[in-house]
Amino acid sequence: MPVTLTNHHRVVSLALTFVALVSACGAADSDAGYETADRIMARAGVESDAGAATPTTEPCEVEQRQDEYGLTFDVCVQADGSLAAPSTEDGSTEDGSTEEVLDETLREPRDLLPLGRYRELVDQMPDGSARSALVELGVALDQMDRSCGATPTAWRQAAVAVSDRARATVAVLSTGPDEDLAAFRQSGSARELERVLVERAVLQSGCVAPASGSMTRTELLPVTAGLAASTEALTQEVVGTTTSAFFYHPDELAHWQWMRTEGSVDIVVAGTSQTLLGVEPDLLEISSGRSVGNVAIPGAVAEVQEYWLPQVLTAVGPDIVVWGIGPLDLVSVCPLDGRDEEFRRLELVKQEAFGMLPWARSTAGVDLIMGRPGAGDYTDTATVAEVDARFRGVRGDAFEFANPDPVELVASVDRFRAPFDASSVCVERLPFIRRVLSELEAAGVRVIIFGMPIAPSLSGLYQGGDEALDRLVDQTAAQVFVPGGAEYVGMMQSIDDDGLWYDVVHPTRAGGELMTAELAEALRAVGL
Amino acid sequence: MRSAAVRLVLAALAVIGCGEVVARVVEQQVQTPQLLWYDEATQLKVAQMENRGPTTLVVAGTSMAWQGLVPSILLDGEAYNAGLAGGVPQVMEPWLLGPVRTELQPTVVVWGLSSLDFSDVYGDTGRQIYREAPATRPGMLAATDRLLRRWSALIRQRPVLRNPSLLIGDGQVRTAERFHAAQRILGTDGERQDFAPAVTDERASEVRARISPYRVDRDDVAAIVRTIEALRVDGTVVVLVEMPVPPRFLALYDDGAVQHRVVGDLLEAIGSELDVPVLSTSSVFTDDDFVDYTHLTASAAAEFSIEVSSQLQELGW
Repeated sequence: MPVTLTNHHRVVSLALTFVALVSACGAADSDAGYETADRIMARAGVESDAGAATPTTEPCEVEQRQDEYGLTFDVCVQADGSLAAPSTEDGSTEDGSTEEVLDETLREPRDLLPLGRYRELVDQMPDGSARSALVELGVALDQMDRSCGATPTAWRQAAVAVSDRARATVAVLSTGPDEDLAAFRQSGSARELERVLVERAVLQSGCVAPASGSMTRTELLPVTAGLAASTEALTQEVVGTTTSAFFYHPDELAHWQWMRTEGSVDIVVAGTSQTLLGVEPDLLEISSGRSVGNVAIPGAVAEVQEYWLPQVLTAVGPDIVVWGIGPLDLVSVCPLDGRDEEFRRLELVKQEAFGMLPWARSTAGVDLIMGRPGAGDYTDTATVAEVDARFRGVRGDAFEFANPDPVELVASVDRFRAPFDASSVCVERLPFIRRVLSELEAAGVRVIIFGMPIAPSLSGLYQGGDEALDRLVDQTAAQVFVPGGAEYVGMMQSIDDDGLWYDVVHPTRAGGELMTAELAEALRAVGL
Repeated sequence: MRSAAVRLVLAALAVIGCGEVVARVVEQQVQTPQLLWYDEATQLKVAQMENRGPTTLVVAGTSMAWQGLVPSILLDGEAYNAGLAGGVPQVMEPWLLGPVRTELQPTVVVWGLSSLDFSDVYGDTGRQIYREAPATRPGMLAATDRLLRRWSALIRQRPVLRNPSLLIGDGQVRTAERFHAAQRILGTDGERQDFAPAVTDERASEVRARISPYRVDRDDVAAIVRTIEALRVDGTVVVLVEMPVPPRFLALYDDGAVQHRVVGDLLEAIGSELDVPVLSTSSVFTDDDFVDYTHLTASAAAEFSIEVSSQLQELGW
């Protein structure tokens, strides 16, 4: 024990030193630090626990004004003409009550602010180079607005232009605002301007689909992130702070679209792109007589489902989850390539980003991105066919591969064969599956796992062939799925014709319809 | 009359003498040290600091900074972590300006701060314990007590004589266990190494109670101001660091994550008002980077410390 009684003398002398010190400090000035503390708290815009924040404004004349929403509010017009929050009778400030009222208005479920509003707000700014820069930025925003639904290339070019204009505007603003601009920053107009900038330049509300529909995530993020950075810097210069938010995969966005419109659903089908393409919710809906949605996301193995499915449960509250798990999930050297980390990181980004927006305090991140739920005005004006197909009226049957391409099928064997060379079970993934099942069971959800098939060209490569692969999945079901509380229905041989596969893991539309029919039959057998 | 008085005094001295003899015998039997400081870890840290001597960089703060800022990464061999459990600014002020300043004479103090440091509903107990600990209790009586402890075993062992279970039995065992527990998680440079996962509902309730309802404690802000200014007089530079928190911590606020923004705003305001550097991490820390609701894992603490170290180097440290 390092400290023993032999240390007491040393301890005592130290303590005495301390007592003398504290006594001396206390005698000198018992209020030391509080004046500065009050200035700090006022500067940070926080209320003191004692309500003693020092007023930061000089005595002034209070005027009643009307903001852009028609709300009246008091402002304090100081001797130099600048505006500030009015003081209360006890000398403390009202702490931005105007902003609070405005925030209340802004956080309501709302439609997008029209881009025309941006121009009106900029017109209210004092003359000067800052206004000129924002006018130019408005032109670029206008162009990006028009490119919504055109081609990804057009959208990308417009986004880059907005980013450039935003950077230029930041440079102008950061050279030092004059007094008129400083006053503008205190106004509700500045906050509204911030919101338009965020909605139009960063979130691209209502215009996410054209960008994400044909661009991969890695293509999309650099453009959007760069744009977000510019706009964040700009809105900091104008009034406050903001940042951006992203989804794990464009299809997650599509799922949110129908989930927010639907509100609740009886059955959801989960899994990776195999399930997304292989299960037609419309067909299942007809056969089961229950509402069905497909919430599968490409690449969403169990590690991702652990975080995605709880969101689905919250959004649409299904009674039953039908989860497709097949050889691609279970057989491979199983690199855990950080997909779950990426999913969680983006959730955190969304949470933090919207937490920073005063007008967004109690609005869910997806609502901010996609606008008011069920408004019916989330119109997709895309002219790119695959974008339109992906986002129109879907319940997860996102896109289709109508025509099998033998060349593609053969080429895909090499792409997917590597895991099968190892022919070992991905044991690292099993704990994730167990955890998902545990979460679903705790939520009172019935879980049915079906064995997701692969094309014969691929399954034949497994050591021991199709039968060995079936046994592997069956054994996993017996050892992991069923003990975890799930029911298992084997469907590994449901599409045994290479002609029904677009590539060796994704069925064509006809293949998907066949598989869905077999799934419906299997579900009927277990009472659905 | 006079002889009676003399006899009375002599009798009293005899009793005290006997008591002193008994106390010295008792003292030889006592294997477990008495708690004289704020808590067991603090007492162990005092011993570490005594043996250490002047140290260039000292970390201050609550257990978040105590665990999250690793001295050997910040400035190998020249850094010590003086963070304390519940070491909010009102506790840090006397601790830093007292034993830490006396023993370590730091050139730079890296003070990790979070919303807990500013919370109005957290820290009062810690401040009270610090003020009531035998080694730090203010007032003449307390000073006299500490003086007499130098010479008198009777005074030193007073708690044992009052409560013999501290010498034998459960009391002694509990005291020993607490010191052992403190020793187990204490690194050689003072850092906290308690990486046992503790994500439970009970723990969540405990942390929520510390930030709910969230209001800023003016006393804590004033304590930071006083401490920075007092250290500055000695030529000690203070660098403030915003400690990262996990999403599961943000979810505990009454009004959600937005309430956490006050930490950054306050640190920025303190930095501007007092002209001290304020550092914050650009890394994204997830729930998995924390062993509970506030404390970083070993790897995340290392990552965070590397980033802080890098920023300190940019500042010239």
